[in-house]
Amino acid sequence: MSFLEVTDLRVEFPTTDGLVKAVDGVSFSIERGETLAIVGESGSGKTVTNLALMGLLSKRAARISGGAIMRGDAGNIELVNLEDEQIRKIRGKNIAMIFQDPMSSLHPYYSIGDQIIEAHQVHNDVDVDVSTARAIELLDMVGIPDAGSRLRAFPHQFSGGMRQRVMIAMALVNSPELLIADEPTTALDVTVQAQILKLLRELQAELKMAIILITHDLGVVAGAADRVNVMYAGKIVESASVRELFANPLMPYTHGLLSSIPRMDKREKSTHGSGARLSAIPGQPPSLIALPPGCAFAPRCSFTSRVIGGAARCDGSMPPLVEHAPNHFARCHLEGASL
Amino acid sequence: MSHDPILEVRNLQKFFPITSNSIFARVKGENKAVNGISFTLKRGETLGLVGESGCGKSTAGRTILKLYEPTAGQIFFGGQEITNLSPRRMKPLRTKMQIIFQDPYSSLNPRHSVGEIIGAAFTIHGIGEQSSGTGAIKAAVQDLMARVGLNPEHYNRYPHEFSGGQRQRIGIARALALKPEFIVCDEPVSALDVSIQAQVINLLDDLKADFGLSYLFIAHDLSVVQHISDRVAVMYLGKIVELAPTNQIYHQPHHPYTKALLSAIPIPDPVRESAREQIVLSGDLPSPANPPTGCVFNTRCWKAQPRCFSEEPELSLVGSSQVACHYPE
Repeated sequence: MSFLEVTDLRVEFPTTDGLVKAVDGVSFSIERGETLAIVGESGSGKTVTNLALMGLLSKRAARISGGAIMRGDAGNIELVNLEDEQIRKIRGKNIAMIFQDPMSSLHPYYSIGDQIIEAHQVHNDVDVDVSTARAIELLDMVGIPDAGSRLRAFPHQFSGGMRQRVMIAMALVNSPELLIADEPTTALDVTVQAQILKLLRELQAELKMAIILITHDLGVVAGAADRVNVMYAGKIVESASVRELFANPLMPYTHGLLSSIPRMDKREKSTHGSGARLSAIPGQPPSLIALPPGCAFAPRCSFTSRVIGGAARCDGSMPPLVEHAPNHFARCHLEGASL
Repeated sequence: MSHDPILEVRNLQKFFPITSNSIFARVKGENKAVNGISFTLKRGETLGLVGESGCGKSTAGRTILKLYEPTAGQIFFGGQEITNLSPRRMKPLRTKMQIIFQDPYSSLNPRHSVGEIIGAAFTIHGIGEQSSGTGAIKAAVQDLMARVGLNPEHYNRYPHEFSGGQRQRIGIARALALKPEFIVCDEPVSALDVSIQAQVINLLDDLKADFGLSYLFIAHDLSVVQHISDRVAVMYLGKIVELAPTNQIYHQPHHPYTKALLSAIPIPDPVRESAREQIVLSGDLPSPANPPTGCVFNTRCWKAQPRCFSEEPELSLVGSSQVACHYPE
């Protein structure tokens, strides 16, 4: 029994152009103290998956189905399609989220102290002084110097990295069991990114949180995740432990992603720079409206000719997510998914 | 690559005034975005310009193209000083120097078709019109579209009909239209997904060889810069702190900031990543309006000595690298 178990989650947005299947039957589980990374390109459904878990999608705009059971301190809770009133009790307390953009996710008119204290007050029937002390404790924990006096500061008085720390402090104020971090370092510079990732690791060890880390940066994944789900066009196409995935990618898309990034640690000598051409994945991600019946990656895949039955099979039928090696799942028709 | 430089920059400065918020705006101070940088770019070379947000790398790129008026210093393009040229005298030179912007969404006019966007360069400079009319422009634009990997039949489409990667290709085609010699690439792949990023980098590489271009490649992603550059300049708070051949700077950085910056990049390999020795810099970038005296990096440097707070280090030769540090590694 995992801490969080998501089964066959689907999110569809009816639009005037047709039905957008943003998340198309996603299942995964995560334990406490574990970090699960969700990797994929823009539009692959990684953010929408987590917005659905947080109950942050408008019920009028999105059709959500499937299940997501969280077995935590508040008992067993089914997160999908929870009533607004119930999700509000859990959100910010048992589950918290850090967003990508620290510039736009803090309220510019309220001091950061007010915002963190409010997040604590909403879920705890305590005196404001208690919440204030908690806010100072958290700001201290995320490494903001002179936390007591910085409570009265406004978001614009902080740098990007400091604002992201404030966001983290606010997310952790009620010691959540599950933290969803949506591209937490994408808007930050590398040196600040290193600080924030180190901070998240330390806080996770201390608080035994489960973390879902959404990112497109495979370097961040390599350093921060225990398990990785690779998403493409609304589906999980590969899932494995982080070491296994990087050492032995089974799905051609994962393989393509890994080989398309310029590597600083491995480089071939040549006249200039690293010289060698990057092996780019041709084409671009498909439109989520009217996806073909087969594998969504088939039009960009360079391995279809090696599949028994050829490209016709890839175009015609969606391969299931199969366990090719212990705990290593991939969605590919390739025999034994041997790349 | 020939040794005659296409671009030379000497002690270039660009300060932006900071004004008070009243009707009678008073200048309260200056934001020293670019604070005295010097370098040369050889013909056919790619110089990477890296640094964190706010270090002045984009301002440097734009000032070199005279999109901003330089505050002080000199810019030589193809041997000719262009620092104080009027916009009218700059115009003939503009065909030779171009820029590719970071954001493929805001850098294309949404109300103009792709054909108009790319063709505008010809119209503005009066090329192709007198001789053979708009038909020639259309043919030239379609050639360019094919060259950057766009379907020439999409000539009449609008930017919103293209994906991010395709829009960046439109921006590249526009920059190439007048057969420039020098292009400032200002974070050209930062807004793109990984798989698309590789396509655009390869395209830039091919075009450089085909058109004999020289690039000033501005980016914060050090692995991309390493891939594409011959030499790399690292900027911090408006200054170049280290400038060296790519192999040199990545294998043996001399400036502590370069070292910290390189160590902060996560390696996409879990085994190596866990073994990586990382220098986590404390604190934030100081304000460029009020840079520290002495070495600009002294507030975050772990090996700063009293001398670093009083005396500013000049760029000087350490091996084959130029380094601005009193105590290089």
